[in-house]
Amino acid sequence: MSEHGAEAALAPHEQALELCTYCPKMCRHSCPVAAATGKESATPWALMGLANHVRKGHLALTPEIARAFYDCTNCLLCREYCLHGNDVPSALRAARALAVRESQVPEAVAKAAERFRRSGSMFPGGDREALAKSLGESIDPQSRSALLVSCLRAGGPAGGPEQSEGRLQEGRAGRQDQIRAGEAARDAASALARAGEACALPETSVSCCGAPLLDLGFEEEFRAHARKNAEALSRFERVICDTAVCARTLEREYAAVGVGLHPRVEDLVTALARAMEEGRLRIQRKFPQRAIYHDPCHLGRHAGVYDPPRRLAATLFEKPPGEFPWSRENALCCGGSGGLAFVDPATTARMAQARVDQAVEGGFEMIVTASEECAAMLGEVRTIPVRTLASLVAEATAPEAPGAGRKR
Amino acid sequence: MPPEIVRPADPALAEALATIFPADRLSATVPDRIAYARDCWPMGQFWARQGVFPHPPDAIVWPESLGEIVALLQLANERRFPVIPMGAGSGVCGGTLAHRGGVILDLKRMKRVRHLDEASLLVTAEAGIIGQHLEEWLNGRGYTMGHFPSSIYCSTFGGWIATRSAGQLSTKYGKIEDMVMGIEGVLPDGTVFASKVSPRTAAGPRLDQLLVGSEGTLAVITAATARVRPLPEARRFAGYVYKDVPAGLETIRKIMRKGLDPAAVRLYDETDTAISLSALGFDATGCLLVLIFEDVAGLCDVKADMADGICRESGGEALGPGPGEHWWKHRYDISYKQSFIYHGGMMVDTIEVATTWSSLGRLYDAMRAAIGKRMTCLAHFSHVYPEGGSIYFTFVGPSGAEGDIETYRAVWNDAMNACVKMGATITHHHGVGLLKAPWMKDEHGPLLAMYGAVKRALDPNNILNPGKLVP
Repeated sequence: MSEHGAEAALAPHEQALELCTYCPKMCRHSCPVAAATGKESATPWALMGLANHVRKGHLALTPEIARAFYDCTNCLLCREYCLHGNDVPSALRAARALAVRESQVPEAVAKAAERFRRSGSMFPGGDREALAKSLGESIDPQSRSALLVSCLRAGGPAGGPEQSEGRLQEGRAGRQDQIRAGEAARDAASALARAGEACALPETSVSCCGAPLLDLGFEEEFRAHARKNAEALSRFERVICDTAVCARTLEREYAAVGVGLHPRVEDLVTALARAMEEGRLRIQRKFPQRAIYHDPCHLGRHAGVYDPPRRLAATLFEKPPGEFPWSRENALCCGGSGGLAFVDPATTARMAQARVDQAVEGGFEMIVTASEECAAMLGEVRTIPVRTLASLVAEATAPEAPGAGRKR
Repeated sequence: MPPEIVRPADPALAEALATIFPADRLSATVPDRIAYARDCWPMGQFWARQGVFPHPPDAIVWPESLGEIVALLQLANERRFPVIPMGAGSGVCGGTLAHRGGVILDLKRMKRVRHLDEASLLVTAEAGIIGQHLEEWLNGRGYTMGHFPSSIYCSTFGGWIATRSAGQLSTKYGKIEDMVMGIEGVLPDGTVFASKVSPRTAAGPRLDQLLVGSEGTLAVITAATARVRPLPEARRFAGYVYKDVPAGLETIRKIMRKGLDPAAVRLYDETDTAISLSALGFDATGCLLVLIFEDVAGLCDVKADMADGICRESGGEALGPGPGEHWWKHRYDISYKQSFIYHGGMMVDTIEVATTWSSLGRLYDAMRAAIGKRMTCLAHFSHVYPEGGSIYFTFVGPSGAEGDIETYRAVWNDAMNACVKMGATITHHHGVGLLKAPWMKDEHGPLLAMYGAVKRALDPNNILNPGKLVP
């Protein structure tokens, strides 16, 4: 490999890499990956130190070393405990991109990228036409707003090691996942329609925002994918994403790689919270369960959205949902984002398990969250129901609510 | 292409370990071995700066059960390889380095809180739980351990016990040895033990206390029962400036003599005060004294008021609660500054020693002179007792012509020799590891033979963390 290439590729992160290398691990307790694995080698301190050694030419980049760079879910919790404000995920993403350019990616990453190339999504299996048909009048093909339904729901990044491995590595969407994908889309579409904001479903080409490519380090392919999506979305004025990762990717990462996106981007939960506050959604019934709210990392720390989903949730339950011991800026990651799930699904499953265990220990009966990705991840633990706010809004505003106990 | 600077791991060892540990809890990969090749000892900073990895372990394992630890120790005795128990590697003395090769036994997968006995004010937790997680778990139930080492974010319950650690509020809540009421672990031959939990015993010496500070050389600590206290109802902060160190020390001595039970007492010398007060926006010369009291509501005020009287009568200029509140809010921030210093090519380290009130002032003068020969030296006094207290020196400076490691060792030699000469203890709470092992004979004299005899009896093959504590 080119040592000079490593130095140049990681130069924008030099200060962060250096400060993390010499830090006495002050964010150690916050890293959910390090907590799930117990490994010092999975701490931001170790990962940044490793990348720094590669940058300085102390170590040759190999697939074995590159594999370590994927031990991060881009949750940004470490930054909450970093007085230097270091952006560890960005530095590690640059290190992953370097591994791609130097052809040193681990096998699991190469396989995942190949899967994406085959179908334009990490989780293929959704049928856009069938979905559009099933949504009926909840969608408006003429609308200037597009509803982007996460492809993650079609494949599901979570699950126990055995369940997830097959899906993650082979890209198979189980029947249950496909049912959920349809449910998620119907919930989102109907909730928006009742708020007077019926959306169109974008063309089939918009099957994935491209975040997995970026997470895996395939920057050039991500740029090409982003261009394609931006073109497909160009006729819209607004795009609403049901997953926080997709929203942040469209909103920020496209611009970061020089791809302009015409429509403005909005989170589904933000749109629904606004509709609720403006009185455009009529609640028919409230949920009696003792619920707890989980902050998605990409909605919370990445976008600073903490209160609107809580206000929305408070209108949906008889008692406002409770808080995790680690919540808001300190919320623990469910494991769903950042690419680790493609490389080490057993660890991300443990992260989800840890989060669910906290809810159960607190005596809660349901986890509520604002992102389809988190719901998929936490739902796979199958201990207590996990619901998205969109699904709850859809059910609470339905003229004839089918009951709050619907299994997810 | 950089050279192969990480020596190859022993494949036969990894194969043998695979009979005990599943693949996801056993590793001999280069990234893992590099991560475990240093702890927070500044020597590791020099190695990182130079890009060398002199002490990578051959493998790392993450047990989840006592059975796995027993099997590992039996294998180690059979094949004669070192096993180094480890918490989170926050030690600053090289106590968890695999300097003779071998296997790092990382305990962080054993991290459950097993039981809170609210009637007895006791918590039982596994050794691998991160300190901050344990404290938050207790806080959520209305309790505190009162143990706040500055490494609380990156150290473990078991590590605290193994290194005989002290927290920032130790003056009120005690040190870890005061808190530990029982220990579960595995002896080097694989024997599992759990000491009896009792508020006191007269059944001979408390043998489990021998493990508190044993730094992984006598047993693998897997769980412990420790004292907890209800969260305080009230907290009071106070700050005073004294004309010099002796005046400040005399004030603290009087407060402790009265039994006023402060949670934290921190007296900064002139250099440290200049830095601390300027950060607060105060323009004062002299020595800053910070006091914190926490207790049940009425008692807290009584103690703080009495201490305030002593402080004023002793010539202290009262600054109000500001300095104490600032310290409380930023009490872990100082650790972040290390990064800039090492990134900038300089070095920084801390030396914490202790002695009696009769000698404290002279110890301060002697060590400050010894350290100050090569480095900028600042100090504060904390962890105080009715009988004496500790001094926490910080030194910072360039490596100079001698180079990083040589300069660093020279500063430590000067400091430790001065400490030994004054009859003070060489470490109050950071422990020994590799760094201070050369001075253990000076520290303990003939009594060190007791430790040697116990070590040989328990660990005849010297598999548990060999070379630490005693060279």
